Amino acid sequence: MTRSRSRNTILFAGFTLLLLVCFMADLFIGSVHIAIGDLLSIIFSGKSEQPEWITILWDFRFPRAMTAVFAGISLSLAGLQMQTVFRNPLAGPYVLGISSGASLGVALLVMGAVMFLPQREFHFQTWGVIAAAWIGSGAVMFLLLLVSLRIKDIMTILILGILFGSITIAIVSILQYFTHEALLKTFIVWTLGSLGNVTRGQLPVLAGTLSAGVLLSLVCVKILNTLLLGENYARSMGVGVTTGRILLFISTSILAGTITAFCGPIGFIGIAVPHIGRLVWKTADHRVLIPAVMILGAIVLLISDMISQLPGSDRVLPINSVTALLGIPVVVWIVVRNRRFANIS
Amino acid sequence: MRQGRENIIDLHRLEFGFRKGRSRGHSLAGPVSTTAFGGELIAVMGRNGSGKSTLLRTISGLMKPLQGEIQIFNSPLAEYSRKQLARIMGFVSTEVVRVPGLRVSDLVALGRYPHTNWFGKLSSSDHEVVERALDLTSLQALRDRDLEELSDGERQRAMIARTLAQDTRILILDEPTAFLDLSHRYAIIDLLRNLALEHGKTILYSTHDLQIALQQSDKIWLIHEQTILEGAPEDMVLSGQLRDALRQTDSGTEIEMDLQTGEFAVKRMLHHNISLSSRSDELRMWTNKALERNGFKVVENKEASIHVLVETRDGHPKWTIEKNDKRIELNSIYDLSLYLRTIV
Repeated sequence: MTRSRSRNTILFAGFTLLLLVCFMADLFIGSVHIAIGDLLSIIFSGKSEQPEWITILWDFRFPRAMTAVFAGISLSLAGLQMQTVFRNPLAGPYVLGISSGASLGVALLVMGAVMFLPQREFHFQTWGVIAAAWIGSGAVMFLLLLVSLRIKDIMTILILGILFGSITIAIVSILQYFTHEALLKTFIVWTLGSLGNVTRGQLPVLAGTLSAGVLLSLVCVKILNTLLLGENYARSMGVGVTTGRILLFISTSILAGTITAFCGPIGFIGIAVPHIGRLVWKTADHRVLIPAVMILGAIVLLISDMISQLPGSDRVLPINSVTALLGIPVVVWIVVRNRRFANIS
Repeated sequence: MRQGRENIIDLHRLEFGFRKGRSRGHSLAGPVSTTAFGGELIAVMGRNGSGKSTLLRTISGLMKPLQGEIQIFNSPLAEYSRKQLARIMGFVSTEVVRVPGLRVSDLVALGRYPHTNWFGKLSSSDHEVVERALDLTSLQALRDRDLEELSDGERQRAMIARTLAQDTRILILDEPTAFLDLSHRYAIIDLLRNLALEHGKTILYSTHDLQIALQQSDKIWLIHEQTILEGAPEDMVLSGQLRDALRQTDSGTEIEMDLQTGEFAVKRMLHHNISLSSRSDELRMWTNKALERNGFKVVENKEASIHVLVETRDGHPKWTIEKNDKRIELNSIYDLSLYLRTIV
């Protein structure tokens, strides 16, 4: 036991260091080349020969890197929670239909508004999109909470979550069919995801919701551990399963809903990172896994962001494609390694 | 340290079954009233679908009774909070739990959760209880193994160890010996027996294994025709209740219980008479079994037209079969069966 504890300490120390390195590296990478020495002098003394570099660093790269950290933490933690609650290795932050709910909200705002105001040009408003996505994912979560108050069977809840998602996607498709090309593009760009739309002023909002989600998750750490054995065992160990589930759904919605609202849907991080965490830390204990996937998630999304910047060119890839390209091999590996899917239910 | 007649679980006119929507539900049995006393090992038996699991889940508080009341330590079950209940009653279900990365010692430590703070931190006394549970189930050697790497028997032992770490006076186990081979079945039941006898735990377990239930339980609760029949296993054999309840009729095959041995056997229609003579009781008994399986009834010499003689020559048994003055000698019961099928 002490051996595994000291192993954990080393792992946490090592990965925290890696996180710091990745964060610095992410600040370093961008279309404008700023030498490391200049970068450090801006950070530590606040001065630079080129004043615009200060703007580039503090108004663009720093919020972007922080957003990557927050999003990585949120999505990975949300994914871990959902995999445990649904006892399904392929569950992720979006199984509850949160991203499709958010898409519907954004689609209604961006394209739906035009159906009623056909001639007027619609201006892309950041806060408007964020609010629409939030309301959309919140509505889906609310429906699911109502369902889980009445329905005890977790598989039924999962299926209903997927069906809610499908309905919203259908509605979004109808909206897409009837909309203008320009607006369609606005929506498509949102679905590709971006870490760069968050301003420095919005970071505290992200930090606040993230803390609330993490706090809820920590409160539920015993529930998560007992849920590993299934609902009946959890109940027989004195755990209120329905209450726990609702707290975890709320936590997941806050975490994934907020990130989706600010950055668009970012796929596969939430599914892949919890598995990497279990593999590296060799445990199923959420008291270790929660901090572990938070650190790993931040690292993975920082790396994804660096790749999406395509160092050496001034083009930028959509972050959602990069996370898919990085995450899907991990998911494939999970599926191949874990062939006994029969026991999931 | 067996407690005397301390009432641990009381069923008062209990009716249990499935609730469907708002209707009264589908009742499996009841109303029944009975008691489990301190330190008793009780086997819950009954045919498939008779409600063994439902009864155990209802007593565990995982399902609500349709009617009537359950009392635990003379207080209604409904008045216990889930947490209080977790400290007096442990539960092992039939569900096969596979959690990648969960070590045996971690699984057992989960059993301490009803006794720990919100973060689940184990005190040194909690650790001692976990160690004791690992000792009792002989799992010390496997403590660092991943749950996924265990055999069925080891996993079942680990699940029981987790319940022991929960440190409850009552243990409820749904088919703890399912999927296990004979020696592991006996090992599990021996463990339960020991826990009841030495540690005064009251243990309810469901099983289809009549042999084990007959040998190793203090009492049988037999769910039959919507009620629970109870008694010491021997009483239930002598009264014929076990035989009547377990005799299969709806599946087409009839099985009969041998009141001497407590064994059940498929009842067969025996079409042909045969005689059997042997000096060795062992050879006679096993040959007899094979003959009956092949539809032959063993009768007196003069009533039969086919005769079998078993004798040992040069240390090997030989079967001589005689019909219409034709004699054939065979080396095994299998050859004998093959031959018998050709002549009838």
